Amino acid sequence: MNRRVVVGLAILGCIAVLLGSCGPARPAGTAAPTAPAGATPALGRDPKTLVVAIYSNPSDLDPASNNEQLGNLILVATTEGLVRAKAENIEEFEPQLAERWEHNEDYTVWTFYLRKNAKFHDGTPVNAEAVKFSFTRLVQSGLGMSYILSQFITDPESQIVVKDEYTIEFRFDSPTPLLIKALSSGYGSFVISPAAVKAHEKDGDLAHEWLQTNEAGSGAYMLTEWSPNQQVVLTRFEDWWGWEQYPGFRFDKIVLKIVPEMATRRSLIEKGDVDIALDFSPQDLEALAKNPDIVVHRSETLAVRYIVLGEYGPLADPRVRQAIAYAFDYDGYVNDVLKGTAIRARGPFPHKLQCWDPNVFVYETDLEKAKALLEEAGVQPGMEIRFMCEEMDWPVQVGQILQAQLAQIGINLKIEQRDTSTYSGIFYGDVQWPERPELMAWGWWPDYNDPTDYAWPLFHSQAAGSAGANAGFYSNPRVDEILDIAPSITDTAKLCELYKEFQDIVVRQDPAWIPLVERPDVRVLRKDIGGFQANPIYVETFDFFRLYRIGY
Amino acid sequence: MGRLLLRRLFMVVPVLFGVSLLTFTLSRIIPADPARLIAGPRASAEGVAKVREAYGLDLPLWKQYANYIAALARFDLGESFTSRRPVGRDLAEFLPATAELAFAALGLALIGGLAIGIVSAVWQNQLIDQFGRFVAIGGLSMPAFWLALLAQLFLYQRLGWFPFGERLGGETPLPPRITGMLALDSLLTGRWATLTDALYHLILPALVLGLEPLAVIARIMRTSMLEVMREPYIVTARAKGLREGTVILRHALRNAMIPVVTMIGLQIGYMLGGAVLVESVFAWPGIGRYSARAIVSADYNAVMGVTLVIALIYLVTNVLVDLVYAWIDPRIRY
Repeated sequence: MNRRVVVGLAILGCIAVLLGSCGPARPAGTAAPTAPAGATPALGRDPKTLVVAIYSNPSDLDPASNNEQLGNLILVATTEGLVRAKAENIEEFEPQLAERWEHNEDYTVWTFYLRKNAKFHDGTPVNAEAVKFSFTRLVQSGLGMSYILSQFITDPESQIVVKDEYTIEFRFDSPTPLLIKALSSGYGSFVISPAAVKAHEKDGDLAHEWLQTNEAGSGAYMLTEWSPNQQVVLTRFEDWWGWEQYPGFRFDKIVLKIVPEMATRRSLIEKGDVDIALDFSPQDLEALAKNPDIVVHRSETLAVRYIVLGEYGPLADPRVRQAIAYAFDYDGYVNDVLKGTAIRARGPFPHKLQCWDPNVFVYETDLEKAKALLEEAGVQPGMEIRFMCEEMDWPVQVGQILQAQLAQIGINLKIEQRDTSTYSGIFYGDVQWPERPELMAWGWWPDYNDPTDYAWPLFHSQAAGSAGANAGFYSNPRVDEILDIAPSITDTAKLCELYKEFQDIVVRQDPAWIPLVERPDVRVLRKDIGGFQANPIYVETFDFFRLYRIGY
Repeated sequence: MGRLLLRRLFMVVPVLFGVSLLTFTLSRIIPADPARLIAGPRASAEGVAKVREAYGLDLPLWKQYANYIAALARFDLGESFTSRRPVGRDLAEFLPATAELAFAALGLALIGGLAIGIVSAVWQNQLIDQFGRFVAIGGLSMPAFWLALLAQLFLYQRLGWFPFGERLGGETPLPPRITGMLALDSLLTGRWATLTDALYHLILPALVLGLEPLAVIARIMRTSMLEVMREPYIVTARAKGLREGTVILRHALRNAMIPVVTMIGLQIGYMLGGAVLVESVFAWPGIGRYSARAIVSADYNAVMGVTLVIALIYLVTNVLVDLVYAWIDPRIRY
């Protein structure tokens, strides 16, 4: 064999490797990866299966502990509560497992009448005993979401009374107008099968371990597959009481594919291999909106993004905090960075929250005023402060805008990025200044439509550090007083008058925050998906049972 | 040889102990609070304390470490805070996916790299050598993450030649589990349709992950071959009248392999590191994605488990590399 033959063979080898790697477009004898038999040619896959590209693993399905949104997306599909806030008007409620309800004049007794045709996925009936069991479990679990009811119900045995198989009563010593709101919450207040809990209870854990990756609800869909890092599959529950209200085409199966990379999710939705995709950058959304086969659905929520102004160190003087609020470039952030995809927050409350004040004081960018306030407060040029945030796009962009603006008024801002766990440890920890940064970026929304539920963990002095979400250790006696008396007020006008004063204090008089934007929920849908409805209070979730495929 | 194996085996335990101590200390000095993450942003201080107690995070650090080591001695890696499952079970599920991807990538890198390296050396500075240089420099300069996105954009989205990612199509049945590597399990059990689909899904991520090692192997192979080809024994072989093919394949190649084998050993590390990003783009449910999530969630047990397993893989690889040295060059004795 001469040299040429050797070289020729080697070249052939290389070509074979390269060709081998290109391969046939589809291997013979194998169906297209996503094209099962019987699929309609136009779609190329089973039209009765809805495929959703999600960005991460749902981490928990136990209603008593789940607090993250992907878990909630599955929970609202599989598990139900007694009532829900109406999407079109979150001040009102619609029936879910309860057909109707009433309360006495002073809100100390609430009675709920359950529908008689509801069943859990294990076949057992949804009745008053099951409701009592679920809410007792929630309160007694002491897990993260138990406070939703435990703030009102301290003794479930005596306070939750089974009147008959389908009637349940809640009794209180003092007026509890907020009960209906807490029961409509997207957190905690779900009804689960006592039989399933008892069957999977281990060492008195109230089946917490089992429920983290399983469900025991009565919703329109059942959890049938949970494959971490791969997919979650939900299957239609034929015995769901609500199907008769949603006749016609509905999905048999929901496949939630876990696709961590944003660019991959974009490819999938553009190509039509998924029907819905979540979580995109403003730039991606701008491009996707131009695609005629895609609908970018934006809906208002009660979620607000903000900068915490630490009430310590160089920011102890309210005038310094006011100066920083005057320095931020609000228009630049909303219009140029977010490209108008979110609306500017007016005050600490989202505008759909009960008692939001439309006339609340709003800062406009004014560097001269900021400089004057700093001078008044005796701040020397060159002061250095820190802005800490998670390693995510939005807070880093906010930090960079603030950094450029503050440089113009003589403040050096140092941006410090931390991974989620470290940041969370500091934000919710008891680390004190100077280790604690002066500024931090965060987002928040209420568990239900109530100003106290929203504001107490953020602004009450007793919620500072590890006791809540008051990361700036904000402490204002009048704010504490308002937050303490508000829950027992039944007169809405009086309640809102108090919260008007509250909003003025935490923004203008003694700023705790720089409210930035109200974050909308954005979902990208193929245009053949109909029935989509968003509800501002149930952030980042939606109902699968409402959806259908247009043209089928 | 036996002594080498014995010595290395004795080293495994102290090395793993050192790695566990280091990882434990490093993960604990970061001011993260996994209990808060598990309990959620709205949990009360009591709720967080309850979680801390449930996971033993309220114990003194030395006791936490002692408990971990005691459990480890029973091959219990603890429970993951994020997947809510035993770490051992998670690793058993995700490690084979990464191993399958890494083996496929290494296979492509070896075949392609050796072929390009040999051809480039034999036909030095000719057109084919220039082509080899182009592939190698291209492979080295393109980050796997970027290449993955490009490959996905063109080969999946535009041309539709490949699936976007994942290990199997939605309707393809899983093969019975033997190793957890789907292609291998399908082969062993004769599930040909599944094997074809598994390979079809494997090609794109394996190519992307394998391109950098391919480039490295090609360049090292070329240099090493060129050096060997100038050795007096090659001249002697040619003078004896041996065919060129015999000279290259029997005399030059074997001698040129030593640095390449070293490099392959080192590339295993790259495969595991690079897999994080490639797995993310191709939605590949492997250990890379698992460990990335564990790190950002302060999932201590998962981080420890992944680190120990990767350390073990390194140790085993190093032993294998040493054994291969001796096999290639009989003069090497241990």
